[in-house]
Amino acid sequence: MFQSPIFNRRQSIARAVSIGGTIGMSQLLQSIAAVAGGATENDQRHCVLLWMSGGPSQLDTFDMKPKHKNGGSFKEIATAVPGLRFSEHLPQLAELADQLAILRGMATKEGDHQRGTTVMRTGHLAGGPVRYPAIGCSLSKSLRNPASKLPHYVTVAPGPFARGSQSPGFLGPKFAATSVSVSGPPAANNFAQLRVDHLQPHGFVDSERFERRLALWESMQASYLKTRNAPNIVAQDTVYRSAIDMLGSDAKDAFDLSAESETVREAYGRGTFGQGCLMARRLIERGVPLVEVTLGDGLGWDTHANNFEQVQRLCEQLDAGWATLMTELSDRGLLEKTTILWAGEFGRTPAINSNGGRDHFPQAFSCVLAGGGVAGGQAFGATSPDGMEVIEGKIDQQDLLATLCKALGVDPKSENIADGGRPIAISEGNPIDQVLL
Amino acid sequence: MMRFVCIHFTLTLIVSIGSAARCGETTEDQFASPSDRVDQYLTESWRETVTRPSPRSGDAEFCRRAWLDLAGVAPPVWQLRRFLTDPSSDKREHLIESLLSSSRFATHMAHRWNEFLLPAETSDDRQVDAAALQAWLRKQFLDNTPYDHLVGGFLTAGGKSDQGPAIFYTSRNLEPVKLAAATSRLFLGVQLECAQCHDHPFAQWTQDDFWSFAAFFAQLQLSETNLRGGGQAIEDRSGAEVRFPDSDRVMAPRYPGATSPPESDPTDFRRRQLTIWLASRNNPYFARAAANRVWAHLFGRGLVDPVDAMDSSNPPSHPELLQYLADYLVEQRFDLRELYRMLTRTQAYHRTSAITEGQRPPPDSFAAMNVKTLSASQYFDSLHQNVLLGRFNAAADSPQADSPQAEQAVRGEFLRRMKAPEAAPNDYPHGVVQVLGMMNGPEMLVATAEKQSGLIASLEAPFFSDSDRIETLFLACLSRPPGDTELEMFLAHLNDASAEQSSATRLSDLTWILLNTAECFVCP
Repeated sequence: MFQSPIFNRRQSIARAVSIGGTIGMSQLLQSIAAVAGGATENDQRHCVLLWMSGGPSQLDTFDMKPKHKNGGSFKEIATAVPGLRFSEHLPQLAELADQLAILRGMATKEGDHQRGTTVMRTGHLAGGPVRYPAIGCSLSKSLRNPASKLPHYVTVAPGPFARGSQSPGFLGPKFAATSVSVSGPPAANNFAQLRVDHLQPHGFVDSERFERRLALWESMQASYLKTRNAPNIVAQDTVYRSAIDMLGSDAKDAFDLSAESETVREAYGRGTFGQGCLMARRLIERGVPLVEVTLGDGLGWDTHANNFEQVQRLCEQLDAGWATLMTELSDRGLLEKTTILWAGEFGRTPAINSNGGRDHFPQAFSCVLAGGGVAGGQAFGATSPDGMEVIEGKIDQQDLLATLCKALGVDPKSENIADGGRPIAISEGNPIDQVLL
Repeated sequence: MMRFVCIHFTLTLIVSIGSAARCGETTEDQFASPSDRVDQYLTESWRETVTRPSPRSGDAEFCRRAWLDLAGVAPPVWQLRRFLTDPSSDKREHLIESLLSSSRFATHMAHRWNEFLLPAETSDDRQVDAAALQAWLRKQFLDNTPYDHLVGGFLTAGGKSDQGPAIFYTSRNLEPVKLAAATSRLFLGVQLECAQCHDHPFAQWTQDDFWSFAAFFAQLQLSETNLRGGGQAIEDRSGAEVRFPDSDRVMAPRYPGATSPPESDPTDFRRRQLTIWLASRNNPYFARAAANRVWAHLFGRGLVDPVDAMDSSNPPSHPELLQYLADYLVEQRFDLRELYRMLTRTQAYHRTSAITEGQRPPPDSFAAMNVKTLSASQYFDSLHQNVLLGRFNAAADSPQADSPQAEQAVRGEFLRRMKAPEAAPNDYPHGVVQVLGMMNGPEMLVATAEKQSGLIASLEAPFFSDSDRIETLFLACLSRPPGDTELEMFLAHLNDASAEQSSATRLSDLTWILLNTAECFVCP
């Protein structure tokens, strides 16, 4: 007969949380881990992709050229690592520089948003015969914990741009990211409002009614499976049960940011990116292997005009959200299990155009790796004094993705089967061992 | 650089299997009762493995199957009721005939082929062109254009009057390599693109074969004059050539495996040259690939599976049967509807998919019907027809609630969430994201919101008993009446005194339950 694990579990988490109020953070987390079914087991690795939509300026963030006319108006500041210098608008990240590895020798062949996005997010050129999955889909497939009640890949506020590069491609829709969208204007307290589509039953269905529905649904499923024990029927049943488990478990509370204090929410920044980073922390605590947060609604980093004004504003959000995420993960002992990649579709031209902007530049730009598995406190690769070319440590998107895989303990050569039966490696690049622990 | 490994690529075996005609048999005998012949081939294959076929399906199961396969939608409730109460012994044949000659069949076939022909990631801004292709295909299927003519027309399409097929070419940027790959997959059932980068050590076809095949598509151009009218047309203009990779060698067009060039075309129209061979009975791959696709459509799995990997490392489950079907299609002058008619009259097509005792026979034995997952549009269109009853907006009582725009919006969102173009029918391609949408999404809201649901409103009529209501719900959602135990359970839910709920609320629950069962997601 139908048992109701869902609501029993909900009650026990409610107890755990109420106790947590008096017993301190670490015990609360242990409770969460225990109740959520081992989702935060010791061996679970996590990945955070910080996607900078539009193509962020390397010269005004992590590869400054203050002595050259291409350098622009921003000042350089010292970081926690002697000799490593960032933009003045990234002060909190500068403090954490010992955790960051700056890759200054990135180069690809794609200077168009759509094609550049595809190349950076899948590792492959757009338009070939194979539907390559987004790296987040491949990695979440490798890192997932089948027992977890939460989705394996959550993406916060993905842009409308280059949808194909966000898709699971030949891995199939079951490896698609769960999308968290911005719902309406900021709330009265001015924090961005984030929500997951379809996470709540319809308004008129209360939990008692939902449970009654499930009881009857369950017996229908069981009797159909008895005579039609075919793979598609079994798969439908399994996926439905995961979704129902998630609806009824504490796990989905991860998406509810109102449980956090104003102080903490404020520290991340009130915008979509900051609140998305906070959600990333909550999801990682609960065992989600892959979280992506996008900064630059639409093509925000596409600063063809007024580059400096826009980059300063974006950097303020970036600095608060990213740095607070790293600090909070570190406080919880989770940073060493979490690898962070900061990247956009390409960089910006070193030369400043007549509108005070910078244009598309895939020939020489920067990406950043941080956290678990990463040998921080260094810049790998270098560009010429004018920023026009890579003079040392040149890498491409395949090398970058292979390095990310290795930092996460995933063999980049692990293969998935594409349409038509071809085995295809996650990445065929060469991992950069110098930035790996 | 393409660096993928090609594991399946030889064709020798398939081609070397000769005609299935047996010694001493005339062509007339061979095709005298083709449906029986198909069953004989299957029965012989079960003898060796001691496989026990499943019994004949019940009428409800068959009716749901025939409608979903041939019309792309579950049977409407009134039609299903009429079918179930019809006492005549040949009612299944009548049903098949009426479905095959209906415009729904043409629409469904056009929809299926539209999905095959377009790349999986076709962007939303190409919807107008996709609709033009859908209209073009629908006309071919309405006219029952022979398949070789249909493919020939498709491959030589160009000019203003023939805009439908243009998107096949433009969605692949008119690139000869992609068009060669797509054409060979679709119409030859082989992945010729595996020979794009290297000769396969075991392959019959070489890299030269691939690039000579690609040369048939070397001269495509978008016709500029038609661009502004919103339509697209393509044409062939001499000049452009395909070159062998990393060399200056211009590839002349040549049929795969042929040693000499094709007969020259008076206007050097290369796609016409290609069509003369490709869509002909002289091309050993063409009829086999078509027959295998039709089989896969009806039986949930190809005789060679997947249907675009017909090479020797992936042999057919029933080689003689496949050859027989190909020969039959040629004999019938590529009349696809005739092949559908013949196959839907086999005993195999009428077997139940339910296994009540013992092991389920392997899916490639075809000893029990395979359960096929519905496509996103099959599910939505059935829901629309039987449950939504023309209502698309749960929030409003305004006239817009039923407008075509509201329908488009709800349908469009559902398809975007659920479409899985490359999924096999024996897979359930969805994850938690899609299932959350199923359980809590907008179309389920319209279907189950008690004040708006068309079906629930219709059930509230006072002359219905509770048993009538439950029966109608089952017919609408699952295309069958409830079993005794089910009726009992559902009655108990309707009359459960412990919960304070209106009858509409209870009916809403029952609708939700049925629409979310595995049974509702499949063609039985």
